[in-house]
This record gives sequence, structure tokens and C-alpha cells, in this order.
Amino acid sequence: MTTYAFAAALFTLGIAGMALLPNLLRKLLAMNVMQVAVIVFFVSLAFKDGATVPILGQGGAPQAAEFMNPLPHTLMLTAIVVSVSTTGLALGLLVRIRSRFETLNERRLLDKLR
Amino acid sequence: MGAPRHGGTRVRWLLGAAAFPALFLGLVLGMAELPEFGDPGSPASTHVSPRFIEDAAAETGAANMVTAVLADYRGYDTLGETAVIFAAGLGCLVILAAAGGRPNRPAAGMSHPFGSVILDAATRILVPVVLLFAVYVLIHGHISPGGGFQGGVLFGSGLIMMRLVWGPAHAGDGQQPEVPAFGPSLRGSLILACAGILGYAGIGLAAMAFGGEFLNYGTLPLGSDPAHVRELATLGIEAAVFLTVAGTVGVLFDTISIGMRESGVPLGSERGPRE
Repeated sequence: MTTYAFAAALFTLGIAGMALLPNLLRKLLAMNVMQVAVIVFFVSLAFKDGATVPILGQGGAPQAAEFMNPLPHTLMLTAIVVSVSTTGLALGLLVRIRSRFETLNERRLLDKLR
Repeated sequence: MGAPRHGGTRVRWLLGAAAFPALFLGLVLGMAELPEFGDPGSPASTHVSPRFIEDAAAETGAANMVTAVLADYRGYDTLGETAVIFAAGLGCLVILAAAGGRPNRPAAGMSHPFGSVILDAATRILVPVVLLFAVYVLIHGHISPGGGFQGGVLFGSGLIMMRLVWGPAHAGDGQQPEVPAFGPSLRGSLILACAGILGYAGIGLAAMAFGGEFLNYGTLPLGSDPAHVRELATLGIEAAVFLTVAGTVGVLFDTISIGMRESGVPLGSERGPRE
């Protein structure tokens, strides 16, 4: 439960940052915090008491109770790299915005777009 | 946009102070219905995952079940994820090229090599180790934590480290760079990324050509033991993902550094209220 609450706290922190911070770069970093919250949540769902990492060692036929659930790990593995790429794309957009409007401040951007 | 121009800030923070604790409480209350943390009998652990855990090694030859699920059972999903990464790199290229930034000019980064003895020597030692470790992570993805995604990001970070210290790579248009370049040019990175995604789809199509379904590697003529065939095909998939990820990281870094130089705006000069 503590892990879930931690994920919820991170998620709230991230979404609050996206809504409240005026600087677009900070909004982007807050979005990353939100993504990390989702990753923490998924990986905590994979945890099983008394189980080890989902990599087969020596020994006989594997039993489901001995290993953690590999599926959330797989999903989050790709999610992490996708989040790196989307962050890169967003940074590219920010460079464009910065060169066109000379600011990343949301309020000043709205003033300039008016 | 009808709000007063600068009076909205306090209202916004007050709203935030009320709304976000409420969101947090809602999330925690919703999560109270979830199975206990670590419960082996939770639905997530009792439906598909026992099949993955008990049969993956025998069916795919990969001791690392995450790799087996990633590259074999859910290969179609991973193809999509790889395409998303590739599309992000292309998108960044298009956004910054459309700005009048010409990607064929030498990439920015730092306009002169750093020239510090300590940095140069440190990267000479560090970067080869990082690149080698990236390849190790790729080819040991079957039996230890690792695989194409992790290895690709590591490889890309090694290239970025080199460019930060030694200056930019040349752009591949025949112009000589002012400083010694290292690693693939922007065009080279793009070709690597394309080769990766095409190789991934190509392995899937080859499986079809030999009578299986798309990305069902068991039919490939690589040997008589199906688990071994799947293991080899999985390594091919991981290598394709590696190329795409490493290439895309290179494309992202180069296009952003070009864009920052072309924009001509001094960075860090902006100061505003509450930034």
C-alpha cells in the first residue's frame, strides 16, 4: 500500500507541476515525474512475496510462484525508452518555440500570441 | 483567455492547493481496492504470467523471461514501441529542419573542442568502456538483465558523451569539420535507425515467407531445434532495436544541438517572475 501511495504522490506532484509551473521546460520535467509514477506503479504490481527476479537460474522446471511477473517489467522497459524519445521530441519543440518567441514562459507566450 | 492578464496566478495556485490534494486522495482511495503489495494470488500474477514464467525458457531459449516476453511473445507490441521511438527522432528532425535549421550543416554541440586534459583523458578511458558495455548488455539480454533498449540507450549516451567533450560530428555532406569528429554523422545516425526498424520488420516478414505468421520466428530455417531458432531470431530483434534506439538518440542529440545554435538565442539569459 505504501508503494501505491508513493506512486500516487509522485503522480500528483507531476500533474500539479504540469498545471502550475509557468515555464514550459519545467512542465516537461514534471511530465517526466508523472511518467516515473506510472512506472513505479506497474513495477510494484509485478512484485510477489518470496519471489525473485524473472531470470531463470540453474535448477529444474520453473514454478510461477518462484519468479516475479515479467510482463509489467517488459511493458515498463519499453515505456522508459519511449519516454526518453518523446522527451527528446518535446525538447525539439521547445527549441523551436524559444527561437521563435524568445521565451518559454507560458504567460509571456500567451501575451505574444495575442 | 478572458482572465485578467496577470491576476490569475494567485487564483491558479489556490485552485491547485485544493484540487491536487483531492486528486491524491482519490488515487489513494482507488488504490485501496487493489490487491495487497506482494500478493502472489493477485489477478496480474495468476493469468498470463504463469505461462510466461513456466514455459518461456523451454519455448524461446531465453533464460531472461523479460526478453522472451519482449521480443517473442509480445514482439508485435515491441515493433510498435520501436516505431514510436523512430518516429520521435524523425519528428524532431522535421520540427527543427522546418525552422530553417539546416541539418546538413555541422552539428553544434560545442563549437570548439573542450581542450581540457582531464576531460579528454577521462573520455578516452570512459567512452570505449561504455560502448563495449552497451554491446555486452545487448548480447547478454537472453541470460541477464539487458537487451536492445538498454544497450541502445547506453551506446547513444556514449556517443553523446564523446560529442559533448570532443565537439560535434560532421554532418556527412563532405564538408570537413573544424574539429575531429567521432561517431556517426546525423545522416549516419538516421540510416542506423532506419536499418534497425526495417531489420525488425524484415525478420517478421521473413518468418511469414517461410510459412509462419508475422513475427512468429519458429519457422525460420536457422536450425532444427525450435527454441534455438527463436533464440537466434530474438537476438536479431534485439540487435534491430539496439540500432534504432542508438540511432534515434544520436538524431535527437544532433538535431537539438543544431536547433539551439541556429536559433541564435543566448541560453540562460531569461529571468522572469517565479521561474
